[in-house]
Amino acid sequence: MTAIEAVSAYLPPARVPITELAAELGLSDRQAALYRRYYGLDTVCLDPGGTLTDLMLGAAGKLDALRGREHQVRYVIQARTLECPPYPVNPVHDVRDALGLRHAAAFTVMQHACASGLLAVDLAGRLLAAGGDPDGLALLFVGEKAFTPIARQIPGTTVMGEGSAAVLIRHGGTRDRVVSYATRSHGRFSDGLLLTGPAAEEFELRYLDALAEVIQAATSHAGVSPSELSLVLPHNVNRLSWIRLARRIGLPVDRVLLDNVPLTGHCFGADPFINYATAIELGRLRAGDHYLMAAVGLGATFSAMVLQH
Amino acid sequence: MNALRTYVTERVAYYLERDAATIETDMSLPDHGLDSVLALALCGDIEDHLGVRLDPTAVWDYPTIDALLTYLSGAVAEAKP
Repeated sequence: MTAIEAVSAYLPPARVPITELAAELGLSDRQAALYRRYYGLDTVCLDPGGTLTDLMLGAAGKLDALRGREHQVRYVIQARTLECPPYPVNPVHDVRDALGLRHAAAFTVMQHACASGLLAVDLAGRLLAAGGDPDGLALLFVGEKAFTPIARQIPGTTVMGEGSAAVLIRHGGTRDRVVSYATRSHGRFSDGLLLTGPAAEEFELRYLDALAEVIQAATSHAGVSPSELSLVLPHNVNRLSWIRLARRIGLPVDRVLLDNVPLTGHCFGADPFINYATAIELGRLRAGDHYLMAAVGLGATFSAMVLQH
Repeated sequence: MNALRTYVTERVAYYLERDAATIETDMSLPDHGLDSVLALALCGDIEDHLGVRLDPTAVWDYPTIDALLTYLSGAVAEAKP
């Protein structure tokens, strides 16, 4: 069974209020105020001078569990939302080399956009299981640079921030076992950010139902009900959508870790993992707890993963 | 209540760029075409107009103008000293 061995989160130190970004995002002062009031968005982390490689190495530098075990790493995986940078820029290879992991296979997955991180955890577990090395590890990176206008926001929904996580994955082990994983791709929304008109309205109308359905599928497969989850580690798009989702599935909203929404904004696929690190810092997970990571990728993929701490 | 009904209907019509007379108060706001951004703006307008804090999910929990008015009458009554 796939297990998460360790997670580290890295947030660039500069926190920028979304009210300062309003003009460049095309938000009126009124809209920015509404985002704060209703969505709970306040600041985002940005590092304008930094690269994606910097962001990944920032997380790797905090992953103490990797030290001395580099030789066990079989795969270095980058789970991306945005299309890869143009050749020859190759952050995942640069990071693999910088960490002394040239013996490992390095590749990127991005088919599930912001839900690609959960896909990569599942994929890494399958690869490690097939490889047959009981000590083998996979090193996953999540998080993006919000460096183009289209990467700065999901209009009407959230503001993107820069943050990353490094995740060490193994096959077997008792810590943070992946109990179930459910994912659904709704191809009719494949235009993602370019959705307009009736298709955009349909996506907005179906969003909560689709997310609730995949969460219920994951919990059902794990043999727990949503109300038995000790914690949900969400994507940080906004507070309002999670309040509505929690009510929909019968989960007290205080069991959704929303602490980072006002601090980080939506850090692409890194959110559930950044939230995991926060949950550990805050002592929000106890041994034996079932918890759930959830993410939605534009395009549109809805994913949920139940783990046991 | 009639004044509040007129106010809310006119704000919805404003955001949808339609004549207020064409807004059906028993039809869901999303079906009218009110998306999440406009719903947020409507919430803010109502809060400013009434001087009360609304449940942030009110427009989604009470998705027609009729249902919203019922909720608002309770919220206003609660807010009175």
